[in-house]
Amino acid sequence: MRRAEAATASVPSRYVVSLDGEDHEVVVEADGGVIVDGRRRNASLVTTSPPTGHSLLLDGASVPLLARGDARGSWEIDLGGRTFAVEVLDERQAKVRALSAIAGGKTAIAPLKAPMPGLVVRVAVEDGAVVGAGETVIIVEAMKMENELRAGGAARVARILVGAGDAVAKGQVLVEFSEVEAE
Amino acid sequence: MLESVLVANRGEIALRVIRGARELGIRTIAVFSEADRGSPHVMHADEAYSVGPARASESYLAVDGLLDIARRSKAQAIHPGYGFLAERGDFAEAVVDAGHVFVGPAASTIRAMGDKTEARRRMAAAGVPVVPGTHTSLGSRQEARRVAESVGFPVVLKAAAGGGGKGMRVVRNVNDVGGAFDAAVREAEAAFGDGSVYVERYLERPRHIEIQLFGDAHGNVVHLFERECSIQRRHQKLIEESPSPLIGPEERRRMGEAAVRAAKAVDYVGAGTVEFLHAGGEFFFLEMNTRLQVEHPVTELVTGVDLVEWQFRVASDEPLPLRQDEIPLRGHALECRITSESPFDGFLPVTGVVDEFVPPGGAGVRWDGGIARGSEIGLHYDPLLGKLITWAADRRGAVRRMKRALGELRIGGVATSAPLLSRIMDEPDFRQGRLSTAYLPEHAGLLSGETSLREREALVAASALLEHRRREDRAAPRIGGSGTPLSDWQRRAQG
Repeated sequence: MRRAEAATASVPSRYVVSLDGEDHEVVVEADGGVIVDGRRRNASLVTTSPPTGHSLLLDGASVPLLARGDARGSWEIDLGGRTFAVEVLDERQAKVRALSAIAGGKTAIAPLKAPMPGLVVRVAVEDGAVVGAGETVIIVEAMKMENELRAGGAARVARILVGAGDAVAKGQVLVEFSEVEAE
Repeated sequence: MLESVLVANRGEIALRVIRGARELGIRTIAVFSEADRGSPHVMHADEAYSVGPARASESYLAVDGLLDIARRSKAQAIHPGYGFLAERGDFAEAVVDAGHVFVGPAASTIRAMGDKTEARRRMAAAGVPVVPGTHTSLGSRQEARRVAESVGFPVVLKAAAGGGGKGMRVVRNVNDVGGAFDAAVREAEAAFGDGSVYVERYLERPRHIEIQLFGDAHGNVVHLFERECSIQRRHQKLIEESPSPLIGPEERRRMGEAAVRAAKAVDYVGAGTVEFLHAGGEFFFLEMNTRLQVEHPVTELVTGVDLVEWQFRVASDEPLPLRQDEIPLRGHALECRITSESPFDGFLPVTGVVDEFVPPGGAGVRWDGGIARGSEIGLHYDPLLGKLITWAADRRGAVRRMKRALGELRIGGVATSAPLLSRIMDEPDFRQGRLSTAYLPEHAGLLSGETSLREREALVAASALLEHRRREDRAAPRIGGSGTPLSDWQRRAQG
C-alpha cells in the first residue's frame, strides 16, 4: 500500500471549525473537496511562499492568505489584511470540549488586562477603591500615545499588580477586581 | 553638489532620503540602533554605523553620538528626515557648529516655527489668518481653565513643541480642562522633553489642507500646491491627496500666496509645509513644519518634482530649479499610511515579526516603505511601516488604483491599517470627495470588525484543510522533509 493512503486512513476527516464563537462542521474529502455545513465545495490549498503564504481556490475563487498554526489545532489566518483566530478540532476533541463547558462554574469579574504592550504611566486607583463603569483605572503609554484603560463595570479593586514605569506585555493582568458588596 | 550625507533617521524616510542622495551621486551614511541592524535603510546605504541601543533617546535622538559618527565618517551634510531631531533648532545649530551642512532651514527658523505660540504671533504679524486662542504657554490648570473659557468651547490643548497629535486634547466643557491639561503636559514632556501647552478654539468639522513650500538661499520661495489631509484619526493623518478635491483654482492661488508670505516672513530656506485648517470658506494658519513631510510623495507625483533632490540642491546653495509659473499640476495622487495598528480593535498598536511581505506593483503605484520580511516591529518607534501612493489622470482613477493596490499589499505577522483604508476607498462620501477631519467618527461603521460571508467561508475551508494537512504530515512524516508543508502538486508527485 502506498504511504499516502496509509496515512489518510489514520487521520480523521471530520472537523469542527470555530470562528468568532460559531461552530462549523467540515468534512475534508480525499479528492480535495470540502463539505462545509453540508454544502460541497471544490477546494485546493497550496503553499506559495513557505512557511506562511498560501493560495486557496474555493469553487474557483482565488483567495491569497497567510497561515500560522500550532500543534493543538489553533490557526491564525491573515485574510484581506486582517488576522483571524480559528480553532479546528476533530469530532472527538469537539465532544470533550462541549462536555467540559457544561461543567464550568459562575464567572468572576474579569481582571483588567493590557490590551497592548506598553509602559504604565500612572495607576489611577488605590487598593480597595470602588470604581464605576468607564472610570479610568490605569494609563498605559504605547507608541508615545497615552491610552486610558477604564473599568468595564462597577467593581472593587482587589489587587494592583503593576506600578508606574513598569513595562507590560499584551494580555498581562494589571488589576484584579472583586464584587462590590451590598451596603 | 554635496559629496556625502549622513541620514539621521530610520525606517521609510531614511530609505527615501538615501535613494534620493544616491541618484545624485552623494555618498550615503546610515545610522542604526541595535534594533535596526537588519533594516532596509542600512542595506541601501553606502556606509552604516551603530548609534546606540533601541531606545530612541539613546540612539536616533543622541546628538553627540550622531555628530561623532558624522565626524568619523567625514559626512559633509546631515539630513534629519522627519520626526526625531528634524525640528530641533539645537540640533541644526550643533550640526552647523561642527562644520557640517544641515539639510533644512536655519536653526533660528526652526526655533521660531517650532514654538507654536511664537509661530502664531509671527504669522499674524505677516498678515496670515490664525485661529483664535492664546499666544503664550499655559502655566497651570487654573490658567488653562480661565483661558479656555475666554476663547470659548470647544477648545484644543496642544503641545507648543509638538506635532502628530501627541500632547493634544480636545475639551468640550470647563470641568474637563484640568485633567486634559495634566495629560497633555505629561504627553508633551514624554514625547518632546518640553511640557509647554497652549490653547485655541477647536474648529468643528474643519478640513486639513497644507501647502508645500520651497525656499532657496537666494531669496526665492515657491509653493508646490496643496495636500488635502482631512482623513485623520485623533489628529494622525491616514490618507493624503493632491490636489484637494474641494478647492478651486482661485482658493488654491490665495492659500499658496498666504503660505509664500508666511515663508518669506521667516526667510525660509529648504522644504517646508504650512498647514491650514479650512472651515466655512475660511482658512486659518495651523502650524508650519520645517522639514519634509511624511506625505511629500503625493506632491512629487502631481508636480513631477523630486523634493529630496531639491533639498540637496538648496543645501548646495543652488537656486530652485523651477519658477512658480513653471511648476505643473497634473493628474491626482493619493497616499495611504500603512501602520502597525489594528483598526478594528481601537487602533491598538501591534508588535511582531513580519513573516511575509509583498509590496504592490503595476502602473501608477509607488511603495515607500522601510520594512522587509523578517523585520521586527517593536514599540520603540513610530508605527508607520510604509506608504502606498497611487497616481492617475483624475481622482476617481487614483482611488480605484489605490483600492487595487491595497488588495495586492501583503504584510503578514502584524495587523495593519490596510483593511480599513481599503474599505474607505469603497465608501461613497470618500469616493465623492466629501471629506473632513470628522470623517472617521462620522463613518464609525467602517471600524466595525464585521466579516463577509465569503470571507468566513474561506476561513473555515482553509483552516480545515490546513489542519487536515498538518495531521497527515504528522502521521506520515516524509524523510528529509524540511518541516515545510508540501504543496499539493509536490505531494501528488511523491504519491
